[in-house]
Amino acid sequence: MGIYILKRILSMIPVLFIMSVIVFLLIHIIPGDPAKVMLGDQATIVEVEALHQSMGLDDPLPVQYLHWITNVCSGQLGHSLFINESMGHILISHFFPTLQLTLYSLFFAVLLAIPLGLLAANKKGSLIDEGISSFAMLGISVPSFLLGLLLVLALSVKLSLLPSGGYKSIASGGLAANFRYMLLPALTMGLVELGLLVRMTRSSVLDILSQDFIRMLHAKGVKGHVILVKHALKNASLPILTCVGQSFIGLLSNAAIAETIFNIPGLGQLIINSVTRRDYEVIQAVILFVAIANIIVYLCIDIFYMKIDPRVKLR
Amino acid sequence: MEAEKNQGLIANKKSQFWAENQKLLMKIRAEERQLAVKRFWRNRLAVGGLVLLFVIMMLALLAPVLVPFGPYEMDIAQRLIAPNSIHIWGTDTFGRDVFIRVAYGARVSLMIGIAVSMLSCILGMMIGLYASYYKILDNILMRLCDGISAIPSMLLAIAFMAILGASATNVIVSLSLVFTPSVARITRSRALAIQELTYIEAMKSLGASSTRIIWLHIAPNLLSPVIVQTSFIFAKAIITEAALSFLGVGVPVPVPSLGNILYEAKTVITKGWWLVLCPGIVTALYVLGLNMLGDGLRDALDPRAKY
Repeated sequence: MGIYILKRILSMIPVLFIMSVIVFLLIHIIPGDPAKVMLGDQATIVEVEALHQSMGLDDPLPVQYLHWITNVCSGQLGHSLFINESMGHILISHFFPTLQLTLYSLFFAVLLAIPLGLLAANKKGSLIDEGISSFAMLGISVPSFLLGLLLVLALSVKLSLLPSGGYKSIASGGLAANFRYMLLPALTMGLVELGLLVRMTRSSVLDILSQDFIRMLHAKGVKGHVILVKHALKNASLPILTCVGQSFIGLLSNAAIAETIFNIPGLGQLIINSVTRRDYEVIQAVILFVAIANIIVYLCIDIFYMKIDPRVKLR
Repeated sequence: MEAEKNQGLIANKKSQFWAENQKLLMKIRAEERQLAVKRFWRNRLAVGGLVLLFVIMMLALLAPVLVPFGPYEMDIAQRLIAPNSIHIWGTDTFGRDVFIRVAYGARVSLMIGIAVSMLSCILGMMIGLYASYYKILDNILMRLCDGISAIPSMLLAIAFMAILGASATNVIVSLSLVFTPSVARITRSRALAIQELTYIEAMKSLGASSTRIIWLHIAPNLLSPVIVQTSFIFAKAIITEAALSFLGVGVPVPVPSLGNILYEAKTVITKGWWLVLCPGIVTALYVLGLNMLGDGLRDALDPRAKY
């Protein structure tokens, strides 16, 4: 077990390396002088020159990369041109709203998707199955920004049931207020993942249901719902789990849409604001942060696989 | 003299042999294709998707004939008019006709979708095929793809757009880069499996060149999963472009796109519901059609595959 985890961690190193090179190069594929582009048209030559020097843009690229990666490893992720705080602090303070949004959406999606997927698989080919499958298809096709705007229009503007935007942290407003503000954004982001998860659950449960041991269970007289939950769902949990992991990362990186509609100060809003402000080092830091989170999530899924399914062996 | 004649004879025989070989292959593949087409037309959802796409494309192409407005034609006196008999989908904050803008936006989306899916399909297939055939390339190319796909696609697209600047061409470039690794990975895994088959060994011992094996004997046999993947990339490209434009980092205004009409609508949402509903529903139907088509293609071409 320990060796497996170690091997998996070691196998991540090349991916981390290539990913970091790509993130590093992002600033260097800016056409022209990055320092000049970052400071905009109003900057004086002296200011541009100062930034140019401090970024070390005259060094050869590998030297710049080494310099950058050692800084990153020691926790210095660069400077924001607009927010006067350390990058680590900026990232963490913007990460919490996004994480909450992600967890609420994922909770909503998983809670509904697994029963719906099971039901559809159990009644394959029936009207219920067609209904659930079409709903899932609709879920993955309706763009989240449309859904978000429609929810605002219906529930906030017309019925004034829920706030149309803003954010209350748990610390300042308590859990209830936090939930009230997060409900619409979470529904907005969750529907796509709900659709994906329903499809995944349905197809992987159907896959298990077609196997011989299920027929044998039926022959033994085991009740239908026991077979469905205890045998089919349990055996189908690996692909479903992968899908949940992918949903988590998808939500984390697509949060920008809900955050702009509902004005939530999260990572997505940070990155969009940084694009308009041309604050490239912030963009770079956010991307590095989410990419590392992505790699860690995949590692966790793999380790979890190993834990729940002894058939998964070292490759 | 004798040797030259012999060589000429051998070359002649060889090309004859390859030609016959190719003819036989074509025949087998034509039969397989017929079966797939049959399976596709029997699938209600797939045909529905195709019809949906056809209707939207017709709408996009015929719109200029249907309404007497241009997509950039402003009429300040007619700002934010609700749908009526003249402006069937109402007007926006500048008094522009929403219907014609949505239709032109659908064209822009279609163009971006086609360009992105074609580019990433061709690029991904080349990477996947060569990576599977040459061990040295495999490590370099596939690690590169792993590195790219470690970064979530939406964020990578936003970053590319931030750096390259907002324009339709840059949307195509960045989305193609973002979606290429998925095609490359599918191509590579299928190609590796195909290379284990006896017929590739047979081709090798018959003296076929590597280019011949890769493009005439491996590539056609993995077209099915690639086509399916391409249709999903098409849908993803349209939805991502709309999302980017909605966030203000995609196709820049005033060029209409399905996303940036909604981006402009965001501020006047209380005064103009049609500005949200019309482009939004067209986007949703577009993606729905493509997803239905993609599912149908998968069931027809690649019946054993799972999603």
